[in-house]
Amino acid sequence: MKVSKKNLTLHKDEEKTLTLVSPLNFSTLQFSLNENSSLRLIIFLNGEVKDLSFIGKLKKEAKMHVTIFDLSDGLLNLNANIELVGENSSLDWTLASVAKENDDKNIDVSFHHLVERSRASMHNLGVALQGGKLRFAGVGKIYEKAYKASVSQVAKIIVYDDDSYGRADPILSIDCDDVIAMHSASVGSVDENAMFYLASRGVDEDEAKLLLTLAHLQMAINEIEDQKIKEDILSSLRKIL
Amino acid sequence: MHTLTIKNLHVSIDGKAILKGIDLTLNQGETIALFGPNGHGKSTLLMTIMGHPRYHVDEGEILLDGKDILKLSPSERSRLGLFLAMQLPVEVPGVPTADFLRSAINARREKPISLSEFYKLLNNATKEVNFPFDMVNRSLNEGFSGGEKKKNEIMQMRILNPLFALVDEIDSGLDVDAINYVAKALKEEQNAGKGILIISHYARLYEIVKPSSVVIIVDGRIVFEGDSSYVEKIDVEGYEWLEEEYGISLKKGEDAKPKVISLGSCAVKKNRAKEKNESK
Repeated sequence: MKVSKKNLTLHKDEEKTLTLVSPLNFSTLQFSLNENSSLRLIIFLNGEVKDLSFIGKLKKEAKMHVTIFDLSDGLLNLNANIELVGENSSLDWTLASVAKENDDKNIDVSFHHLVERSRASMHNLGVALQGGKLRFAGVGKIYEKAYKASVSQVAKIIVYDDDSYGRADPILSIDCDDVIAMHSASVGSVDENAMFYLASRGVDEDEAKLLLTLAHLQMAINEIEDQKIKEDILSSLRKIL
Repeated sequence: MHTLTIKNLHVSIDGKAILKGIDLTLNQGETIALFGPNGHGKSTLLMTIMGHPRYHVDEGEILLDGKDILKLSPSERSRLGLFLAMQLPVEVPGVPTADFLRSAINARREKPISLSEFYKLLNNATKEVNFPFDMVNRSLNEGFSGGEKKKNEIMQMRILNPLFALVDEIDSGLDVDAINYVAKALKEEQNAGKGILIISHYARLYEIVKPSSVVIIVDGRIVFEGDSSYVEKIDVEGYEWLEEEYGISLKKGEDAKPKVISLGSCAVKKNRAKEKNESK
């Protein structure tokens, strides 16, 4: 039976790794990472997912590393709203998403830096093809007293054909004058010269797309340590492309 | 014998005419050195033969063993036996060179190549052109020096074993040792009976890879054909002699004087006839 909300609390100094493969038994993961705790979260989404939310807080020196690989079908609304409320808390987020055929995906990720020396990095990497639609919204909010906070956001989408759609909105909202912040976004078609180069060696279009897609999503693939999940992802990508 | 034939080829890029009627035949076992001033269409010819989508064929034919290949994709042309060693090989971040090569090899086979056979092939090819083996694990051409990129091109040519190699300024930016490695690999292709269409501005490469004939392109047209002795003449004198001796304008576009007689074609016929007589 699907439970709409799952609560997860990591106690002081606790370390935990969670590897999840859809179908998930929750649509919202609410978490709290206490002082010096560490959560490694790896999620592979396939099949129908529709709605998925992450809401949580990182306290002093807490660390969280999230890797999500999304190959789900159809509609997807994925939201993350994570607060860095403790000094020296640290968050790494990597998401890879493929939108194909009738897929319509909205990925909305917000990080809130409320205290000094919190750090977060966000990588949203996507591919839209065969008429798929993919939108990334990333927000990095640095509050007034979050001195020395560090935030980086990267959003990249390859749109393979005219029927597909990609959009990336990286937003930084900074109310503090002593921070490190960067963001970048790119949405574009595949490099024509790269495709030609691969094709000029006999690699057909589908294989070339697969090679370029794997390259584009490489960061997320590399972060998945479970070999079985990695193989499932590669196999699914081959079927899609 | 395999033959690559180009007939009355007119090519434009973004509406601008670059090639204005190229006729050329390359037989298996021949090496044609393609010369001409910069920007007059040499690389365009090679890119068009390989099928780059930016190069629009307005008129003419490209035939491989009599079969028109203009409607074929670059990958289909490659699998039929064409190979383009590029002047500026593209960097493809994130695609490991070895993975790419394996895909290229498998595209030509019914059964995928085994890992051991692949690494044996790769090991031999890297040694042949003095390409560091560990670089095959790096992203394709990313961060490679100019020389490493060119060696990678030649290494791929050796591995993929084409019928015809189109070689675009493979020696530019190479040091003396690297030129020797590349030239020796090309010489082996020659000895194996491949057809080679090669662009180079330097006589040094042609000392090892001796061409069967020389062709000069000016303003998108072949204006001269001659034997390999013209490599030295071009190396020493450049192209102004074309204007002085044959009245061929070196200007591009509307300023160019219309060519009345194709002296080059006559020259090549004479030379080939002479060669035949000499060989008797």
